[in-house]
Amino acid sequence: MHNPLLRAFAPLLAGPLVWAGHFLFVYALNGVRCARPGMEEYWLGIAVASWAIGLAGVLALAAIGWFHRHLRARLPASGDARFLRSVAGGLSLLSAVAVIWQTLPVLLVPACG
Amino acid sequence: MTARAATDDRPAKPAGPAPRPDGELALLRQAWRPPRGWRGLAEVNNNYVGLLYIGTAMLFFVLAGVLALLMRTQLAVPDNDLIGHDLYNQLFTMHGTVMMFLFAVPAVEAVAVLILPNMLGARDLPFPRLSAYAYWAYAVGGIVFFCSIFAGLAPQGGWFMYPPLTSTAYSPAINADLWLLGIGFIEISAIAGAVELAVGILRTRAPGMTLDRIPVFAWVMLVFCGMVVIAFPAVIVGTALLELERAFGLPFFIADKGGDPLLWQHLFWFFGHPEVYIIFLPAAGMVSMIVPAMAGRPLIGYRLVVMAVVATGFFSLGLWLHHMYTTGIPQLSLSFASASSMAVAVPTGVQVFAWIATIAAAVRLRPLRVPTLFLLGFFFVFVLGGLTGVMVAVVPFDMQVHDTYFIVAHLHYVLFGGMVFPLFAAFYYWTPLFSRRALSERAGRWAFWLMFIGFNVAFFPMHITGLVGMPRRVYTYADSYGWGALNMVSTLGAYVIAAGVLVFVVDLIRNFRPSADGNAGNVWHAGTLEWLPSGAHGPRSIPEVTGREPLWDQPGLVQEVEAGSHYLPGAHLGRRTTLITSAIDARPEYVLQLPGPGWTPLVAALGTAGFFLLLTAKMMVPSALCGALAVAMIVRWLWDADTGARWPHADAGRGRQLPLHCEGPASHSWWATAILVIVCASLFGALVFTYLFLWTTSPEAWPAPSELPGAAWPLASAALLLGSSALVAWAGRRLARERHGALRLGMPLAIALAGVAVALEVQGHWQTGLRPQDSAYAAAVYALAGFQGTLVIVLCAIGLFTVARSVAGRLGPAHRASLHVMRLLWHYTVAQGLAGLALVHVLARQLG
Repeated sequence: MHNPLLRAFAPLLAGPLVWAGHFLFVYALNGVRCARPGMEEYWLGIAVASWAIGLAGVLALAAIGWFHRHLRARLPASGDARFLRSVAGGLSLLSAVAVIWQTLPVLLVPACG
Repeated sequence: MTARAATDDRPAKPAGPAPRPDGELALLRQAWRPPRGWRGLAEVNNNYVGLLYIGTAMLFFVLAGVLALLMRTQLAVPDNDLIGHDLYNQLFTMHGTVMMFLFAVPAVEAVAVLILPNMLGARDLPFPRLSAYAYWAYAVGGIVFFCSIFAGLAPQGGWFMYPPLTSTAYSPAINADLWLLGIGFIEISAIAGAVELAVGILRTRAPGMTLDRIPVFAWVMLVFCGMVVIAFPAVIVGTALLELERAFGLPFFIADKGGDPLLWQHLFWFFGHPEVYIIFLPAAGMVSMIVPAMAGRPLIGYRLVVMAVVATGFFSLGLWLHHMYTTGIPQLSLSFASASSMAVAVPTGVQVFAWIATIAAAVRLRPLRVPTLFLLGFFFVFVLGGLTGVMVAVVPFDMQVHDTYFIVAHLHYVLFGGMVFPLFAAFYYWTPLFSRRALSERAGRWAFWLMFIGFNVAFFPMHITGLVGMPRRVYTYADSYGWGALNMVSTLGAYVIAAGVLVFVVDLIRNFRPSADGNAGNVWHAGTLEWLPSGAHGPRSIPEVTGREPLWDQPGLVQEVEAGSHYLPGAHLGRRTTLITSAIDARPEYVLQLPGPGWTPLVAALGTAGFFLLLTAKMMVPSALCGALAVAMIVRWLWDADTGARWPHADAGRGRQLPLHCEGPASHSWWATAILVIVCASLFGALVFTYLFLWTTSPEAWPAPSELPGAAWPLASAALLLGSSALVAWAGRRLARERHGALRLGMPLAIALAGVAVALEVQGHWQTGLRPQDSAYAAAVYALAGFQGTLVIVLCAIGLFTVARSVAGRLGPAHRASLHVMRLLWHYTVAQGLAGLALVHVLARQLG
């Protein structure tokens, strides 16, 4: 990554970007499943879309963890080297919490009620 | 040669007391001296434009406040006949619209335009003419828009203008068009400002101001800019679609033809909720600057606050649905928004606790000064608004209070508490920077207490008024409902707020004496760079900083800067200049020559405002002439850019020679273009959402795969687009070897290829018998092609401009900025065109 903006901001924002991708995916998936009830399929008695939302949450958490572990070291030092790392760490943590909160409702509320 | 290669990386010489050459300071002052008299209108310097900007925003605050007083007077007693329902509808629509679009967003941008360069140690923002253009377009357009209420032509559909109420069937007059076109270009002005500010923050910071030393307000404004470029395009697309429906019958929101009014709500609130944070975050940034200065110690939890600001910017983009809880959206989907609403409360809480901790650890808080009073008022009011926000984030509770006065109370606690109190704190805090005298402490206390008490008297009862059932936006109510006493109290409170604002205005008239050269100075003993002694040129020399509060951390810095011992102590060749530094570690990279006063931004803004406003009145020829004038002025100002310097390097001070020129990804203009590309991608994203959303709601309007144009149409279109990109790339490579022929021949050919590609896409659909008015599907398909066509027209203009520069000798291997800008936009447009073709042809076949 030669572009300095990408070099610093891509690792910094990896967590929130995963959160945004996760939000977009689960919202779009649930929107489509409710708009097209005829396409709904089930596995082990649970709708495939619900499995997918649950799996998306797990994958998003894994991605946040992976990015945090691998990209953190690539953050450039801008003044205090710990600064960007700790901001990136905080953002990853918050994003992970938000992903968990976004995933839990699939267990609690009806999909299209 | 790139700037990086040309930059002298040797350590800077220590600042010494060596005397500066005779006449250097006089030349610097001369270069930055604003024109006198009426020629002052041509000034583009941020100190001048910023003050005008703030003044205009406050004018709209007062005007919209007067509208609020009229409404409160009407509601003071039951069955009041002072104001009729039609005017009342215009009043609440204009109050909301003016406060949100003409006061709140411009006010925070204005504060940034005025203060950020000083805070960053820059002499000005990197595109002063763009700031001036954004300001004048906003001021002229906004005033004309506001005046529509005097002719009874003001919009009546509420500040969020929901169709079908605002569709032609129910709002046939031009009132709604005025909103759609008037607000549309004010948003464009906001985006122009955001591009300017983002590049300013990333590239004009003082040397040494690494990311961990950036003032919180600058971090906040960077996030603000990101939110503006992501969120504003959604409402620009929404307003464009509604205007296309009203003017040409494209049925995006008409259910009978496969449209959906909820599409508007999605597009509007995808902008509208981030908008709340677009307003609140800069205000929070101001708080994060003022609290440390008043407390006499650095902000506690700087890293956490930066993290919180960035997180808020992201999470705010996932909240739009919580304005739509009662629209029948699936329950699980609403839960996603509810989860984001909880998530965004965490970073907001982090900021609040950081401020409280800093105040708790203050070394000099008493006696409480006026900025501190406004900050404490902000804490109280905003936290209450935040708590009711958590209440309405709970879906069942929201169902009960939706569209009642509870919501009016909540949103005013958040917006007035979260933005207006900090803004007044900012006025009292930063006035000494721009005025010979500080504002009065005594008057400030009166203003604060009147506003604080008045606000709570006016708005706290509204929670109860809402809970007992009074809906918002009713122009009167029957006595038998029992809402009279609560409304009377709210009305009295509103007048007390007005009295507070009046005291502030009187204080302003008595004490505010604008002066860049003889200001009151650092009366608060604050630590950030804006408090360096400065003039119209900013600081005498641009300081090298080693800490977050340089005036506290670097003893002697003020004297060194004043002595011209730091960077750019003079005006190179008598011109305005500022220092461009690297985005991450703020190393000096090159010296940017800035434009001086000029009329082109003002005339271009008049043309832009005229274009949109005359279009509203369907005066096509004058509107087109105004548009042409705007384009001509912008071309005129760009023509003089990147002409190169006869002197490749300048003495930047501290023993450094820096280039006067830079291009490609290292240049500030390339960065601005990159941000513009993000804006275009956001616009395209909103159109893609439109297409897919309408597919989910109206599958019957979607054609079977056999009804789509044959594959040859999109394939030919794609091939032509790729061909045009290849031609542009080839022309660029040849130009690097001083071969202009490829450019002069290749560009018109590339323009033709891109144009034919769009024509093929349109013709492909047209020949199947599909017309834009047929259905929402047809409208969405033609809207995508229309947006692509619009970008190609822009490319056409930029391409011809580049060829003209080549012919005029203003483009060469060493000066290819316009080519780089065009190339970036060109490749993006081609990528977007290919994505659009894939959506409309490949995905449509799968969906069908």
